[in-house]
Amino acid sequence: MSNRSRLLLLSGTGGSGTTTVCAATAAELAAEGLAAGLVDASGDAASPEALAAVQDVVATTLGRGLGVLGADPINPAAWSGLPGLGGLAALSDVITLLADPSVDVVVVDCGPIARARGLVALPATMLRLLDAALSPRLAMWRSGDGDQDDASTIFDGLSAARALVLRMHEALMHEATTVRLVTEPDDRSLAQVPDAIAAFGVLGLAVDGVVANRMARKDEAPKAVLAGQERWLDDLRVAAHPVSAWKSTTRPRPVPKGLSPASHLPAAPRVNEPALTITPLDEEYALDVPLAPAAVRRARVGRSGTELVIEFDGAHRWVTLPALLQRCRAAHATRTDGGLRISFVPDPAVWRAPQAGPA
Amino acid sequence: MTKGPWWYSGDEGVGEPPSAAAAPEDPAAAAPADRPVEPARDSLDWSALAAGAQRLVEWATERVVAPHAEHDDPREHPDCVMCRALALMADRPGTASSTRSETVPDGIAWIPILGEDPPPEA
Repeated sequence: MSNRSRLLLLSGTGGSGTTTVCAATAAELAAEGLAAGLVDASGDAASPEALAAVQDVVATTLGRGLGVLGADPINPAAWSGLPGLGGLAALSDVITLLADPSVDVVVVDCGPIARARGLVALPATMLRLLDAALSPRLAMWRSGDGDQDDASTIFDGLSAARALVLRMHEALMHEATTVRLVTEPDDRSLAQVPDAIAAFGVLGLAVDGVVANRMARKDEAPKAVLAGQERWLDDLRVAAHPVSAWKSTTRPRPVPKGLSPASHLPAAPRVNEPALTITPLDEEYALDVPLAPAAVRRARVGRSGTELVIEFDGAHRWVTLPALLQRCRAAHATRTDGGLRISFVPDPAVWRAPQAGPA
Repeated sequence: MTKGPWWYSGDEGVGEPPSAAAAPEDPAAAAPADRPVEPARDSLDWSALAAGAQRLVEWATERVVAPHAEHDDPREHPDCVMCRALALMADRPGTASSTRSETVPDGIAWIPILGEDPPPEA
């Protein structure tokens, strides 16, 4: 495990008390003598400095680009309402805190699951767009005889944006980053848990815990209610498998005593490059993609050029195939207990066929 | 003054407008009386274009589509344009007619999962 600060993203099933659990988690860390950095990414509450920095990058690149095409100058503040900008600013706050050696754990309130999924997918999506924009042709334009000022500004602005977004992406994909779900005892919330664990896994983030928030205490509910609550908790533990689920009573403390928010818990599988294993078989290669149970049943995989695409419930993950498999064609896939196994057959158009032995 | 083609915005000091000989005729004379003429397209003869397209469709129907209707296996009719196009599409890896995988418009070739129907398009 690296020495980087822990990054804990909290997301809830909507109105389940994610913000309260975030604050309680930070309080729990403080009680253990650890310094927590808190970021609110659930709305447009990023720091003014981060928002201004992101607006500046956007204004420099997009605004200048539009200016080259003849548009009037646009005030940088005018970009502030763009969708996704608040999320980028919040992630900018995250990487600032992660770089602070005095911070032990960065806790991020990512809001409801749908918003959190969009937030964690944002850097990867932007990286793909920026990589396409920063084409060799644009680099040639920059060094050409055209309008040096505009070309250089746009190219350098895009490069700066890419560097910033890459840091965000790397922070999210880091092994010391996990997602913790917050839910409450009702069946609607319960139903969202397996898909959320699987979708975050496909996006490259491991869920390491589910907090059953707002559970009634023994002294404040009838026995029948408590019994139903325990049955619901049992169902939650099945739905969250292999992730641990624990209950939290809002009073007196949302995070149960004895469970350290900084501990490393068993986490759900996630799709990341080191987790993709290649097994050479007789005449083909098998690539195993680890997935959470819900995704094992319903995910699909595809190929786009040199990339593998994993799709589950609207979440897409693009992973560059190892060079060996780039020279193969994907024959078929099989659902296994822990994910998907994809069979790759050497492409005869690329690989030389084995020579026949001596007669 | 010589009238430029429909795409020429006017004399803006950037050179002479293209010659009138290259410009289509004024459509005002050819346009049906019950249809207003769009000022921005006042030199494009829409009715002539439509008539040309109609002739093209008739020719394609008569010479290509109708003969192809009797062709069962595209590979047996290399002289038929539509059969050649279908055979080419079938040979391309990752196309809908390929047994290997399914391609969706976004360029992803979905990998078939053993024991399941081909995945639906995104």
